Amino acid sequence: MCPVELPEEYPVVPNEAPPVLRLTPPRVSKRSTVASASVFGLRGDLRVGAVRVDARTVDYSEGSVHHRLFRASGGIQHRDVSRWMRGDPHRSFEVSNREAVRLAQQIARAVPEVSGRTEGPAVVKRLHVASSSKDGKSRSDSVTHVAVQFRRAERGIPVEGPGGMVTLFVHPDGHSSGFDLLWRPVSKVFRESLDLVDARDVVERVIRDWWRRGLRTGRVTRVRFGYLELDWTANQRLLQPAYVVFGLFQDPSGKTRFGRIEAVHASASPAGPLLPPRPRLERAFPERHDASGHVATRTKP
Amino acid sequence: MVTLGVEWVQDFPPSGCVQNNLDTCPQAHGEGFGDAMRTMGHDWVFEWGDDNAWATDFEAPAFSGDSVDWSDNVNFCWFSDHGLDNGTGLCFANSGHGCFALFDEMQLGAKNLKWAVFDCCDTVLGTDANSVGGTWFGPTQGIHMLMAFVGTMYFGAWIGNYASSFGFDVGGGATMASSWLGNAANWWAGNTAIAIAMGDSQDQAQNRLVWEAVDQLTWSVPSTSWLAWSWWD
Repeated sequence: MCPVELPEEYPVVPNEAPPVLRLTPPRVSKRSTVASASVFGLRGDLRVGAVRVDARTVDYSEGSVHHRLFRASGGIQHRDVSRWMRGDPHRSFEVSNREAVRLAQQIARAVPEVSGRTEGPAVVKRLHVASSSKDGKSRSDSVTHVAVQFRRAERGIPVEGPGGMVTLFVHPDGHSSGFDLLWRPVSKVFRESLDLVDARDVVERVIRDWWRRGLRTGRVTRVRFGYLELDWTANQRLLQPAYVVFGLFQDPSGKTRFGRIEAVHASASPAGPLLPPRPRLERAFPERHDASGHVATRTKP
Repeated sequence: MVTLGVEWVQDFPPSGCVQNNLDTCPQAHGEGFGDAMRTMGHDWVFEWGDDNAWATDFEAPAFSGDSVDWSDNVNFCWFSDHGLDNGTGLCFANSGHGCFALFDEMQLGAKNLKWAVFDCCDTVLGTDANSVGGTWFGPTQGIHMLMAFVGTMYFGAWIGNYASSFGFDVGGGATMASSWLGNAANWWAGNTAIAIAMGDSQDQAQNRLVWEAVDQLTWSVPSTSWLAWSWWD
């Protein structure tokens, strides 16, 4: 008896299990950031630009263009902030998906870091700006920007997760207003093919874990298979095959719903942790008193 | 420098309001945002979590709430938890102060609040004018902008802490809407972020979407006659 509904379909997995791949550790410094900026068309010269460094990122800015490298992942965000996500809300940027992909590939050709990565499946997104007067008599909705995201595949296996993509932002003038590139390079095979776990077993395990956490009414909306690449701030060293399980839950009273995404090793003998350790969070809170005289303001130390 | 407050709920004990637990995402998001904003020089005034976060902190005094001492006593308020799936309010765990804060019982911006993030599902149910305007013209009474999500969203501690990234960006002076949409929209997961700006004219609301940043603290909204909103689709 399983109150969480099983998925309608399971992903197709390759006959031969894919190898675990070792990723090249990023080397992010002031120098590498300035050098990277020059690849994206900036002068990359500290006499005309400025560098800002923090624990997460190194940012180089030259005029209105900001070029950011993430220390943990080597991911790049390159944005002309005077144009990125900005357009005329009174003039809609109408472009077909095919034309948007063509524009994005044309833009990418000028940037060696990006150009070889725009051949995979593309997702086209449009930035809408809508407005309405309070009486509802005057309304507008227009597209002010287009973004094309190309997803990564490695050895024919799709890369799942927040990483493994390049996104090109296209301004209505037809030129780029920015790039997002989160695509950790592979250095070598870390371990050859391993046996894969069956997706049905993984889903059952995930549902048991949800049950233990009190999530008992819902359904598995989709299951995907691929290499898993993490987000901008994750220090990831291996690219490993994984199943990604999406669950949608309804609360017992039927008033709220929410989704959860789980990533689980697809390999029967994993080479290392798939996910970063959960952040350690402070759990000791002072009791909050009622308003009858003593409402305690808690300022985080 | 702006003042900020953070509230989040992730554990719903059986003795309180009954909802599904959310593990550690709301706390990580709330504290990620607060830590980032403080790192960028802003003043994190309060944080209430789980049982200490109360519906009355968001309800207006006209509806027996205490918003003017909490959510509306700071310039920027972050809230992470469940939203009601009919798009009408926020959920809380402490039944002693009400399990829900209904949007209709809020007067956001009546005192100091300029920006709010409702990091929850179903803060708006759609992106059409009826969904956005029907929900948000009433409760926005001086607030400049609201950042939220459309419909159901997917959580996962490992898919990235957009709250922290958003805090670093806006805390450092980046524009509100582009920072929110750039960090919180997750096309791979299927999460649709939305930024809603208020104005006394169409131009003001649309300009706010493009230009508003934390240094526009005094760019007031005399009356919310227009809303402008933006999302990736």
